[in-house]
Amino acid sequence: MEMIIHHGMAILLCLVGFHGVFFYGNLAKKTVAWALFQIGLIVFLYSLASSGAPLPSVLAIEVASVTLVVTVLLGLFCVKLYRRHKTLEGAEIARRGSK
Amino acid sequence: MREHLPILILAVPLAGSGLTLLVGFFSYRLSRWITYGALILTFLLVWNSFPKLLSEGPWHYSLGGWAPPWGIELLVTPFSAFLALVLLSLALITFYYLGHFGLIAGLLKSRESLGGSLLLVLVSSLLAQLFVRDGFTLYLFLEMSLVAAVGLHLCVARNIWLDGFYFLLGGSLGPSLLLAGFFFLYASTGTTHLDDILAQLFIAKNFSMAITAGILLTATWGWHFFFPSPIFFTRLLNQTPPFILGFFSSILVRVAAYLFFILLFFVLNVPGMSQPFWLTALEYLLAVFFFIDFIYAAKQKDFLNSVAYLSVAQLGFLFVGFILGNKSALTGVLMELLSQTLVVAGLFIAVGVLSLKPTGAHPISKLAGLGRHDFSAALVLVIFAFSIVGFPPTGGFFGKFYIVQGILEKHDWVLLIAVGATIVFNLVTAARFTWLLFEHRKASSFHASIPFSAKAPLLVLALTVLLLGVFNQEVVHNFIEPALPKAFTNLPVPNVPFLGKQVE
Repeated sequence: MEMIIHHGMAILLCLVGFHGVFFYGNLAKKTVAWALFQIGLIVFLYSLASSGAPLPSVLAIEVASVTLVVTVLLGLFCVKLYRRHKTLEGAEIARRGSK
Repeated sequence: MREHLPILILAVPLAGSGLTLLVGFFSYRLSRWITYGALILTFLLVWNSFPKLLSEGPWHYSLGGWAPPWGIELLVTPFSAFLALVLLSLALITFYYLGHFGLIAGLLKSRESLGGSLLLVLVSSLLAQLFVRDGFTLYLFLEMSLVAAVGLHLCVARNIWLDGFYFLLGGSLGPSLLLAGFFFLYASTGTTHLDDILAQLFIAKNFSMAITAGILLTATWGWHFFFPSPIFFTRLLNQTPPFILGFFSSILVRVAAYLFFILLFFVLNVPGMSQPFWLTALEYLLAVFFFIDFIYAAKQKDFLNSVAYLSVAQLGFLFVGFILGNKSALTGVLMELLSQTLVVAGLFIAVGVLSLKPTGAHPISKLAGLGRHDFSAALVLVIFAFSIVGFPPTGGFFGKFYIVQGILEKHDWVLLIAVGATIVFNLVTAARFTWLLFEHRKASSFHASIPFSAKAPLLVLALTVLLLGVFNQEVVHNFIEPALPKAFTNLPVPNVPFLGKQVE
């Protein structure tokens, strides 16, 4: 319980992101939701870094780098799909693709 | 040089990847041979580590000379090295088929070079996952393997952007959950070194944290374990060449299963911890859920879909071993893991070889009478099918034998019924499949004979499945037993690794 109060913001971001990845139909929104989940983890690390330990800050930078790379890659997929289908609704693109 | 073998094993394919990509701009042929060279050299490096591994036991290697838990440690065990050899062999086979596929599908030569480069990145990151003993480094390599896998997918398939997106997103959610699990553990133990986490959890007796992290670390593998179920990956199955699906389903998924084993029994297996009833019930349901996929596999009319269901369903045996957690069951799990890796790869490759077309439908009915047309191809399929059943002398038989032994030792009658019913069901299905292969009917789809060059890797895989069974005693004694948790290895050392703080 103490952990939930102390790391409330991080847990909230992770929950919102996790929910978004599963329940958004729009691919761009899914990408943002995944990035939110990762940001939640970075916030969690920074709250641990406040205790004076150096490792969480280093880990946070590395997680941020990975998040940036994967988000850019997912973004590129979105751009490619939008140019081809003029929409980013996953179900709509799948329906057109199966025709 | 010899003392740095563990890091060289990871560095060679990574360096080869860059070189393959660079040379690919000038000469596709040279680029192809560099890929082969990097894979073979890595294979030889792993092979050279065996004398030390078999005589002295697991090889602890500290990166940059920084001892764990402060530095990053690579731990090469006889089993992880053996699995690395299987991984490299399958990577060689996959690259061999990539060249063939490129010709059939009219793939651009530049894509083949890029594919070789990405395959080497994938191999390097998977090898790192087998050896690394640090939670955060594990996350980095897991993410790296997924990005490389998506890239490889894009290289060999057309119009796969949507599926590539879902592959990357769904796959990346797993490492994110892994990271969340490790951060929870870090918050309460102050370490990310796998063995040290167990020691610190034991000292703090923090069982609730172990269970919470355990749920997150289990959820990590959700995407991996359901790949390539036709329920979730229908479009991907239809658009991806079977040899790529085979590499992913056998290596990507089975390496994940091995990591799951490491996390369960070397990180979270805190002595004295008991699981709540709801969690145990959930584990049983999960095992049964996987077994149900055998029924779906038997009902399919498409060979590729059937093989995809079989790939997922076989994980049920591993889950049963994890639930039992005793020495016999875990021995069976690792034996079964090796056998499944070969069988799954072999079956997917067989789909590709027998259909003689890059993608699309692969009706099982077209296999009728294959045995009368091409005996060796049919025999290979029979060996794979009976390894899944657990028929002697295949590797699959000994995996299931040890798991059933584990069930009997623990008197778990629920699992005995589930496993027994699955084996009987699979026996009937395999018998029907064998009948189909050898029945008196003209094989309509096999007017042209299958070239030996296309079949050769399949024959090697089938032979290895048999050899795994024939030499099961040696495999268990030399490779599997040293990889089990310390409580089961009959060594005069305590069950808890003593790193970091002293244990009273």
